[in-house]
Amino acid sequence: MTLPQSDRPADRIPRRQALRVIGGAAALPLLPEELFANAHLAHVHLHQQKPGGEPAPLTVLTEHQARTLSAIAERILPTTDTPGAGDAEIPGFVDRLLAGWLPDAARDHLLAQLDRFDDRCRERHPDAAGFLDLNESAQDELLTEAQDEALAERNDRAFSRNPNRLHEQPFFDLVKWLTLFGYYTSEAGMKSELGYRIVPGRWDPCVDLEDA
Amino acid sequence: MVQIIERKTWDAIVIGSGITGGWAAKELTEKGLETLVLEAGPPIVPERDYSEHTPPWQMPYRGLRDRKHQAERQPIQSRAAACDEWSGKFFVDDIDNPYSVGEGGQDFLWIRARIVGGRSLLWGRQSYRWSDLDFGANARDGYGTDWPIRYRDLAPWYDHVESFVGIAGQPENMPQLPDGKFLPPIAQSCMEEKVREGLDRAFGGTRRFTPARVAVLTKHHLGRRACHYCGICRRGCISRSYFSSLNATLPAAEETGRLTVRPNSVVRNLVYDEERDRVSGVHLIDAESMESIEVRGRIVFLCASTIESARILLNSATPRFAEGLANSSGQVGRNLMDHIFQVGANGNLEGLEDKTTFGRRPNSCYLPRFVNLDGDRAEATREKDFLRGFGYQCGARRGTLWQGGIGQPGFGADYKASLRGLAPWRLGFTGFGENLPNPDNRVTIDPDLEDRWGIPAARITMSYGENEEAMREAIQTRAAEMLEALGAKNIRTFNRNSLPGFAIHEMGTARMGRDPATSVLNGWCQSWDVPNLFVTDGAAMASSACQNPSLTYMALTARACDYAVRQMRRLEL
Repeated sequence: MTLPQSDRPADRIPRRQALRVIGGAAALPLLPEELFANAHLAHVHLHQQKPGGEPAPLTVLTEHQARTLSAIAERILPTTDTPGAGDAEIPGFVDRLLAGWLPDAARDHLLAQLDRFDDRCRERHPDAAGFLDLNESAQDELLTEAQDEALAERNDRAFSRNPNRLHEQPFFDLVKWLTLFGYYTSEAGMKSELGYRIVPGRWDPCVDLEDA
Repeated sequence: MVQIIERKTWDAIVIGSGITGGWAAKELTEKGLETLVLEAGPPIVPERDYSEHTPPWQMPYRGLRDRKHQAERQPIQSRAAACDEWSGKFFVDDIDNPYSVGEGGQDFLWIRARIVGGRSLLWGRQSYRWSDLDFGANARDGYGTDWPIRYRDLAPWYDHVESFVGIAGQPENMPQLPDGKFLPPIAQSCMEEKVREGLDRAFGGTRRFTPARVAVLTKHHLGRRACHYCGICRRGCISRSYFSSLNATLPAAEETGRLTVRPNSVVRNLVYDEERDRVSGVHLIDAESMESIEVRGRIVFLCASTIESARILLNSATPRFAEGLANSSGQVGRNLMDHIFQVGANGNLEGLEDKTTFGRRPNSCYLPRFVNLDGDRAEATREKDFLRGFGYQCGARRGTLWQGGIGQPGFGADYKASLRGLAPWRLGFTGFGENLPNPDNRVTIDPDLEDRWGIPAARITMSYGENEEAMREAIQTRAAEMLEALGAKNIRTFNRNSLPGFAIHEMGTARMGRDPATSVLNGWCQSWDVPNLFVTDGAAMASSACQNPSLTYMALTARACDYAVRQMRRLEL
């Protein structure tokens, strides 16, 4: 066609640079199926890698608080034929919420109530260093007590996960919610308990429940 | 004001790289034009920025979002479901990109993505043709002005874009929702098949429950791979299985060697040459250096999105066009529309307790409009309380039990076992309803508010009216009656009175029409006032229909590009 040539040396965006600007589009040309499969798998692989070996250091919780939380979580969702919440990195998750997510009132409430709960464990069992030190039936007894208190405190109100209402939630409910959410979004919980696959690879509109 | 004037004259400048800007780039470069695409936001690198395979346990807040950041910087954007912990980075910063709401209007939610690819990275992907029920609507009832085109004008362009996009869909032979060039549909679940049969029986085939038509590949297509059902398209798609500018049109444009994308280029205004009576270029602010730059082009395609395109025209006032460029009709900014939604009903279905689905599909189902139809169905389907119509996005699914676990008393091994498994099938209908064009629903410029780049901000004044209110009632009633006909239990209607803007289907601010006195664009999306200016995003729409609009935007864009290049060859621009 008879359009004027428009390449002039004075252009402020040289073509080389402009090509880079689309970035990924240029780096990922349209591909035949087989080659694309490889690029795709590489990406899946990359995103399924753990970011590093050691978990990030705690910034708010003490080591003792972290271990206590993990032990409570394990009693709420214990190891059965699938991993328990003790394997779900609950302390790391809660620590990040405490550091950057929870409103101040909810953060203070959770930390204070966690310590209070542990204090009560020591009152009941003066020989023990806290919840961590108790056997399972003693732990369950104290958690049942906390659950009963929560029930009375809530007085038929439902748990609210609204961040600005979390400081009003009873301790047991708060820890139970953190445990449930943390477990069912953890690698252990999602893969083992929920059978979650990052890349299912196909859609089947009708399968038997037991095969899912 | 302009610090730097670039000497090169581009054959075409496209403003915006979203779903229509991407199409303009592809069509214009493939037709031989050296094309510059201006994008206000930064580039996206799929390998780095897509996160569809990043599981919750690798996210800092496991999907609970960066709450404090969102409260501070994205109080509006974060109301959109897609603006989550993974995809929040694709949405704009509300502090840098302010707008105001005009007196007398409802709150308006303007959900935006300023990135290369725009909202095409985040869209719902449902893709439906409009029909003459839609293109004839304004002429039929007198709201708005008549569309200058009919279905026959657009049909070949629907074919054209669908062939490239790849739409998974099932032909249904329904005049109000024309069939297209489909890839194989994504099969409905076994429960949904029963729903389809049940509704066909109960309503004589007038309420058709069909797999949602989506711009997602069910087989390898033009160098893009079939869907692998990971289920979270809005986080990106490394196999390019859903359609976006970044996954499809921009790479195609790039292959021509005639595409240049300039990201971080915030358009301030169009530059109008009074002597030649043409747009001569675009004045932009470099988002990073803050330099003020003018680029020149022979034609300009404005594809910045409905409200932004109106804002740019209104910010481009000149002595001849004191009320905004291309605005001799006074219609620029007016007739802003969206779809009403967040209204419908749901209920539990019994049976198939031992069945579920495998994989996470990128769609659900659709139930096309069945009220106020035209032709020989007009009488039987006429509604007395409202004009026009609605369709439903719908589907039957089984949720996980653990999500209700906090409401169940107890803890321990038995409690954990009780949370295993799936809830009963729940069938939901969410209506999407047509919004009448109303000249008082409009975008203007707020004289007291500027964005981070010193550009006067939009003021949006919009309210839904009585017709939309009446339609909300019918959407609930009709959904509930379908659930009853299917024998559903625990039926619940809902109406969250979605605010204008929240369906993110905004359109109408530079409408096409038959008369320059009452419309901004002619039947080719070409400005009546300024012949080398085209507006092909949602702004061009003369009515809103009730179907998702993006496919129609794409077809209109491709058609306008074809026309523009033919006119250039005849030296008529």
